Amino acid sequence: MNQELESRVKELIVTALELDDVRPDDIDAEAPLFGGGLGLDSIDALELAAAVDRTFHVKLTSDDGDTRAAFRSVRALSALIAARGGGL
Amino acid sequence: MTEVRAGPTPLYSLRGALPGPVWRLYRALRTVLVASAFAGFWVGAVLLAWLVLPATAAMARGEAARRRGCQGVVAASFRLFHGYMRALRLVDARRVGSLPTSLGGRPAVLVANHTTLVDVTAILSSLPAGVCVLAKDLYLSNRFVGRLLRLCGFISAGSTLAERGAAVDEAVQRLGSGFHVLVFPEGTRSPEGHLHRFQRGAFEIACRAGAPVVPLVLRCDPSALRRGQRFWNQPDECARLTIEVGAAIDPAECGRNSRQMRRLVEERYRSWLGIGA
Repeated sequence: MNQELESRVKELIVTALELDDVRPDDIDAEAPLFGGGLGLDSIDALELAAAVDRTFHVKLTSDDGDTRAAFRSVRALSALIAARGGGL
Repeated sequence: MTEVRAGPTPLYSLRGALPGPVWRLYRALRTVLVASAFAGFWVGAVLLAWLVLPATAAMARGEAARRRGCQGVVAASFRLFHGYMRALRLVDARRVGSLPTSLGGRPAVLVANHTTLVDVTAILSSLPAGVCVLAKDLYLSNRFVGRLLRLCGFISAGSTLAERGAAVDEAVQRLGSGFHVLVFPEGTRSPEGHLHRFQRGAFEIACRAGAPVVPLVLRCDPSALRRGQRFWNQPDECARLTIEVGAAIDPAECGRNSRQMRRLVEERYRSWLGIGA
């Protein structure tokens, strides 16, 4: 697995979503992003999608299965970004 | 705006007020009475959506006027519904306080904690027409009430990412065309004695539209019609549902930052209701 990309994704989550009380390293790459874990909400999801687009040029705007799967965890999101040629 | 109802303190428990056998009969009938209120609601909703509201909508010009007309009819029907439940001593809903005069007619995002199944009907019946509700998609796509809700300008919270974003946009538009928008920031009914974490949507709407947030603090004693509580398992006593209108909070107080506003409003609710984080 691409450790470096995962770190960048964690960094992005913390900065884009202004998670003041969370350090990137504290985020478990396999923990769910929404609902439990970080407790992100749907507005966070929209902002995260926009941030991923800005940073990695990967669009997550459509509500296809890929997007839903990608929002499951940092690992899933990183895998999708890598698969779509982002983060190079 | 004046308070909708004020009157003598009603009898909340009929236990001592009725002769023993009559009380026992009433108690036995209570589940049937609750069921009759539910049935009345659904039948009424269907009649309104297919007969009354189309006529109401046909008489109004323009989308906003159509919505407002339908909202007026539905609010009156909800007053009837709550009058029935009050007469049966099932639920007595009342509003305490009025929408802040500081609003000066400006539309606001009304937020509320969510105590009972009848919070929406209670809130809408206690306010004048002009409130659009952000609701779960399952209500808007319900085959019996969906049509009524859409005619009244309810906004679907959606389920997918794109739909969630669209719901925020739609709510901002409604505020722009002069409607209040009612949101339950917990997204579902509160667990007994607790609050779910507030979601950010309501505050994102307020910050984007520059509209104030008016908190409605709901309390229901004894607890009734909660999520997961069955209608045949309601308290014997009349449930008192109060809707307290709080002071408006301007997004500027939170630097128009929806995260800060979310946190501030949730903290206030926790202190008003005496609920820890």
